[in-house]
Amino acid sequence: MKKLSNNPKDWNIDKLKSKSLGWFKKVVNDYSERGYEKLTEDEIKKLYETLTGKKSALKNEEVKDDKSK
Amino acid sequence: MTNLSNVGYNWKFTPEEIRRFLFCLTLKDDASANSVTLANAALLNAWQTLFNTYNFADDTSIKVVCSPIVYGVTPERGEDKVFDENNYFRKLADGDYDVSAMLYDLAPKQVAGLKALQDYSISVYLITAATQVLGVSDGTNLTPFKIQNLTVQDYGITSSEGVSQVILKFRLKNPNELNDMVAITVADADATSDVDFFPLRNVTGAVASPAVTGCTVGLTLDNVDPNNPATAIYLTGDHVTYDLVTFTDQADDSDEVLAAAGSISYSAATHLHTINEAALLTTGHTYTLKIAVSGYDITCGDVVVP
Repeated sequence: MKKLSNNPKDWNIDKLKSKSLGWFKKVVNDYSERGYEKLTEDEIKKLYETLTGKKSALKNEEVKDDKSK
Repeated sequence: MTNLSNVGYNWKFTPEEIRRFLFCLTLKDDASANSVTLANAALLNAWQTLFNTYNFADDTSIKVVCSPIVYGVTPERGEDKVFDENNYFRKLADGDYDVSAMLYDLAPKQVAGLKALQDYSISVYLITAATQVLGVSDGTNLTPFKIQNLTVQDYGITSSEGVSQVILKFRLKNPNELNDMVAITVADADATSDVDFFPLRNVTGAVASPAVTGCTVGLTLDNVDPNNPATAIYLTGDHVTYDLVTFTDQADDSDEVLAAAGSISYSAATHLHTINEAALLTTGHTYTLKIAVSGYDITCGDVVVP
């Protein structure tokens, strides 16, 4: 069973950033049918956020909000 | 006021013997001369990018074609053309400048590939044994020597007295370009290395099972080993990685690329690459499949998504 890389270098990050989490779930689920590990919904979400950095962007916004308060 | 030109300093310019030729079209499609910057001429990567000008490149006219190793390169200078009659002596033109070289133990199809270059208006950079590129400098760019005529002999059969050999010969269009010749060393490259200086190999890609998720493609080299002509040679999964694949929509030239390694797989049993990714292509659209593998010029059929 092949492991899905969480290294952004192994992914087309520009493409991932332009696509939704729903699309990413479909892709990763398709991969699992072709010999890659099967990930849970949470794991897929975490991988998507790790690769695209979207969660960290959200965190920054939260920090900004805190400061503004 | 009349003034004599200055002869200048003697730099003792003595490049080593020629080991390879790099051919290119004299003029690009935009009618400007093919050239490389002096800075890029020193970089093997920059040359290899020009070697890897695939059939689907935006501008194929910048392509540089690398010859196999050449031996015994011999320049032959003809006498200047003069009119000489009853003490009336006038120079009409510079003498011809021909260069000939021997190529040994080529594959027959390599000879055919070299012969095909006879049909183009081409120029040549020379690569020395010390891996210097010889060309014409205008101070900014390195321009190749223009060739007036190129001739390549047909494949030669090995005999008891000599190896299989082919003579390649060309005449410089403007021999006075030799007076602007410079040498640029290509860093970390070896003129005799077929890894550093490689010719592209033609590959045919057979597309099947088109769908919105992709397609399958079988990649077969056009030129087989002449010792085993019945054995097909396939481009395997080691060569074709996800980041080398692009589908270009023929309607609007937009590109679709793959997300990661999992979007392409290779079967050694069927020799097929399977491209499969969720919502990759659009129903009813026709795509050009471009696979950019270094050293291979891959021509694929259209991908018509039903």
